[in-house]
Amino acid sequence: MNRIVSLATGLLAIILTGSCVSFKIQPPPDPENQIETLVLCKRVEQREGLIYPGESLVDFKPADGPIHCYVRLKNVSQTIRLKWKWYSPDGHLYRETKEVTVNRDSVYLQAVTAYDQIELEQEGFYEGQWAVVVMVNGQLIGRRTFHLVDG
Amino acid sequence: MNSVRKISCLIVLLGAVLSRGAAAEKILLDLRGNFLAYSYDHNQIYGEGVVFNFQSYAVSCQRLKIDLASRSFYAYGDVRLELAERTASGDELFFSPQEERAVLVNYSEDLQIQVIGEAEEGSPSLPLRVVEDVTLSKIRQSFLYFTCDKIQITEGFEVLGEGVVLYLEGFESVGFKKFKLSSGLKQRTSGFSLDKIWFTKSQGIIVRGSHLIRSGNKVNSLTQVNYEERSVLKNYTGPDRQVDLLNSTSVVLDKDSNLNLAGNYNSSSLWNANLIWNRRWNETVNTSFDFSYNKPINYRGEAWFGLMSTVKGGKYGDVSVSGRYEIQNQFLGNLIYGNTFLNNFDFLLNTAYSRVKIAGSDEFSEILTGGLSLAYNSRIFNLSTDYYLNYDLFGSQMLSQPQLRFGLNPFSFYSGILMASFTNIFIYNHLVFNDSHDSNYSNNMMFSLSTQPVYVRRNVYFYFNISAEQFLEKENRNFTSGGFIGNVTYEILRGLFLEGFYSHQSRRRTRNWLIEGTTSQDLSALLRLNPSPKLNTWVSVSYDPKNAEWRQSFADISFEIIKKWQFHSLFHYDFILGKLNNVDLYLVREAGRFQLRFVYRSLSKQFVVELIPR
Repeated sequence: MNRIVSLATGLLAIILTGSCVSFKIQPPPDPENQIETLVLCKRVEQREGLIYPGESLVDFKPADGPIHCYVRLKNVSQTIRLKWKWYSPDGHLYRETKEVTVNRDSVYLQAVTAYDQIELEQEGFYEGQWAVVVMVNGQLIGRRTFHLVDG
Repeated sequence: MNSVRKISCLIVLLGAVLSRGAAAEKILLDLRGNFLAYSYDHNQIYGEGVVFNFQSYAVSCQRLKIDLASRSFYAYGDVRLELAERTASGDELFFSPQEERAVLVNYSEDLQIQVIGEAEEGSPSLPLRVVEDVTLSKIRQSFLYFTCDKIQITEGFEVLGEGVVLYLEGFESVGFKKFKLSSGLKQRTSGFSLDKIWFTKSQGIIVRGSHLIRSGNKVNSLTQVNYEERSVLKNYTGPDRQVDLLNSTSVVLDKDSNLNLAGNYNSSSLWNANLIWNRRWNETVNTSFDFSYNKPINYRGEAWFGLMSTVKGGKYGDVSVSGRYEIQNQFLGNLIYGNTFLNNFDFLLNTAYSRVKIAGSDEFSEILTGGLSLAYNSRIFNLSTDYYLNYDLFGSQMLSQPQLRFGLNPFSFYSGILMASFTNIFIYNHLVFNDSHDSNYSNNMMFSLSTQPVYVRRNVYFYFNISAEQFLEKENRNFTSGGFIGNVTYEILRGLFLEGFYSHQSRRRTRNWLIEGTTSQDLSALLRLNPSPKLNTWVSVSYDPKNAEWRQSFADISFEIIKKWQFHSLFHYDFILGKLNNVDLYLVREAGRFQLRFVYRSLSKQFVVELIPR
């Protein structure tokens, strides 16, 4: 009798849990070209073959000097083309870089760091909210907005 | 009275009927993708190569970010919206599935913005900063996250997953064919739940169950049953069993009105029911009507009808009126009027009348209270006068209490290093009882002087606070109080501080020639090590100079072990008892909207695991 009860309980448990729990689901592979960091900063620093952002900000003044848009990508195993586009508060394209080719040999890179910058004093000054977008292979992968303030 | 009971029962039944009418939740968004991940900690979704339907469009994008807490939805990278022959494409799409509105942005020569769906007045909103914060790295650092083949978001913003793999602290764990990803401790799904079956020596067998019905954001009804079986207890003198039934239902009728129903029943013949209808007529006028029935044990039940209305009159002031009537001729009324005029004057009038039965008798108490306040605030000083009146119409007793307050706003001097403040309050009481009159008065004067931190050297600074208070009363019960608190801090090394603290307090009472009172002193030292946000430690010891004895010592050690796991400990040593009084040890994992804590307390000899929603 006990055996029948144990069997019935076991069968019921399998039916109940089996309908929702599965131990064979394969997790998807890690996506490539992931943005790990995308910041606007006053300067960048180079250490051990990689670039690092220094003092990231949201509001900039003309006296702060050039504005850097720093990006760090991870999981890069194919050749990619990087590009930056800067838009002024009135929505006009202010600056567009040429496409920079990275990882021509298509080897696995744990991290790729790069940046673009605009020179405020040389380029002029427009108060308001700016936007900068980063494209990989012609597709948007990240955007940041920042404020240029007078003073 | 029977009819009143029937109405009350109907309220409870109406709540149950309305809540039963609620249908299963609609799916708001159905996501499929090459990669989909959901963080339970942060209630955020990240996806790659995602397709979904929005309005009648079939949408595809390279990447997707969703922050469910702020209802922010953001698709970007080669976004395409297809509807029959028409195709719209852009670099990013900021959309609101609940409002069926979207903004499609193209980063070409100019920033091109296209509104999809019905545009609201004004310019459409562009992506919020909150979505910039959603990253796969952040999701991967969650204590609990999932990857899925498919994700569905319901109208109530619950998240359902298919082909789910659960990750616990980054380690791959069990898989589920289907799983409700957003279910947490406090998040209930519709349906019945058996919350507790327990036995205690004081309450006997306890069974708790609840039933929740939720329909979008319109209907929310929770019914709870608590059952206690005490017949199993030895030497128990009360009733053998007790049942409590509680229902709370809220119904959103339209954007300006809602209905709230609440009903409680207890098997000891105690029950109550409450119905409230809230209505917002326009920007300035709000009204609520309510009906409640309350049946206490051994007393007659009471049925109250109430009305409360608030009017915001702008420059004419704000008015709040409320009144409640009970069918046994009980009444409560309240009127409040407040206004600010000539920029610096604040006026407040508050009056209330109550006529309620005295418990256990057929007599009524009648009380009229009123308050009038006029205050003037300037940059240098503030002056206010208050008049309070309490008139007991039943006991023929009247208390009037005028009050005058004068204060100098805190002002700084000596190059901003010193700050002083002064306040004086005068109160006069006048009590009339039948034909007798009585009056008394008191005056309280307070002064304080404090400093900003004063640097003696680059790494040594001090500050202090001196305060004095004089209280005078008509009966000559006068008090004089004074105190000094001083603090010196010395930064020995970067992140290593030694702090000294001294406090001296005195309180004297004078009555004619008699002076009595006491003083207290405390001298403490603290050594603090705080070189980085990951390490924070301090040790303190206190000494009583007046009695020349050591009092107690505390030690607190806090540091990050790994990832977001934090170790924290607190020790307390009592010199008077001569023993280590208490040791608390914590292991804490900060995980977005909850915190996981393993706690050991030596005082109660308890080891506790706590999951605290934030």
